[in-house]
Amino acid sequence: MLRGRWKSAISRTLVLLLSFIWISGSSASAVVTGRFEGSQSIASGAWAIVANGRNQPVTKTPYVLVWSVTGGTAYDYLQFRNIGTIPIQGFSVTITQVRLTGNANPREIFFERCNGGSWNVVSHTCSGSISELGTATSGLLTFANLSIGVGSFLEVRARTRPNAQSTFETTLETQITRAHIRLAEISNS
Amino acid sequence: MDMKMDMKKGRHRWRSFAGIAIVLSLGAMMGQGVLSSLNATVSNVNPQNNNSGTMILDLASAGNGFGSAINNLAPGDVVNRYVTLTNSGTLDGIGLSLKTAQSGTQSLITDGTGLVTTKALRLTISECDVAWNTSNGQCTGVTTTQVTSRTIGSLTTAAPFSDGSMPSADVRYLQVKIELPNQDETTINGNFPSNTVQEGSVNITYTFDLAQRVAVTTNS
Repeated sequence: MLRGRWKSAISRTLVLLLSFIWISGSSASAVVTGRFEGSQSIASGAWAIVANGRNQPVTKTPYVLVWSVTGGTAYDYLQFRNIGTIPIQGFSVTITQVRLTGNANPREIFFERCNGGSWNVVSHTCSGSISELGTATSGLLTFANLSIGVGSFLEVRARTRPNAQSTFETTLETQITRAHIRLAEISNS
Repeated sequence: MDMKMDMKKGRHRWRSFAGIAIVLSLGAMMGQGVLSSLNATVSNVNPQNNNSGTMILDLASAGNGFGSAINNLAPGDVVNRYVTLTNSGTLDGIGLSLKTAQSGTQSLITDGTGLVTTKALRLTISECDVAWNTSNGQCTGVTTTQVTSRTIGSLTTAAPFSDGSMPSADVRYLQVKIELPNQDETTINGNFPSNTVQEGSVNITYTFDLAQRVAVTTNS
């Protein structure tokens, strides 16, 4: 009985002693560290442009020109709107013309802007001066040397010559790359 | 019989031994004066002063520092921010390092892999031995790259400074360069490609760590 108690007491003492040694050892080998934290928020910009009908809501889908080419020169008024966060200096459109009736080839499409004025969509006149942005029948057409601010738009008239033999569905798909925005910048502050 | 007698004798011897031990222990506890006749004691008149050192690392903005957000980065853009680290503790420090914790758009944190070729934000830390001109990024002294360019995501593992020693009161003038590598993306009909770096955001917490100098044993 007595030996058992002594053994138990010795065991407890040993455990306590070892724990003490372990704690002492830990604190002796710990390293004091100085630390400082700071936080920063970083956001990237975006380059994006969409084509939509005049005064129509923005949709991120290809724009289908609504016009009849069989009754004479056809017009469509549309807007290219900068929906990104960086001003745009140019962009491209991919033109697709799908023949719906007849067997004639599609005509050229002229993209024009009204400088210093506005379009009259009824009389098809410009109160300023008309300049041509580009012409193509199909494929990729690039508009360069533009300046479209964030949230702003470029109003354009699409025009094509009459085609008495065939009708077409004309679709515009916008494209913009890194090359169409400002150059990289270095800032210090 | 003999065995019982022996056991009894053993117990008696044990009890006697225990009794003596208890008496001696009590005696020792009640006062050494009882057991020893003479004592000489001396102590220092002025208490010895023992101070432990401190490790304090301070960070201050030079210019905008980290406090001001960086917005609207385009590929190729570089934004330099400036901070000043000071070892305000009394101990010399070693092993200065930087690590970050970040959350937000993954394509800005780590590079794309496989078919995804996006490049994430890069960070570089340079030091000037005198204060930077935070307006134009010029260092009129000597510039040293302390942490070479690497993605933000890789800094979850601490990056050691090339010169990590900071004696007490040492001041380090740091330029923290954030760069979105030049890369191209085509946005079609206003829709970004998958894994885009556009319109992303990241919140970064920078942690600078400085360890105490190696412990020393002195004799004097």
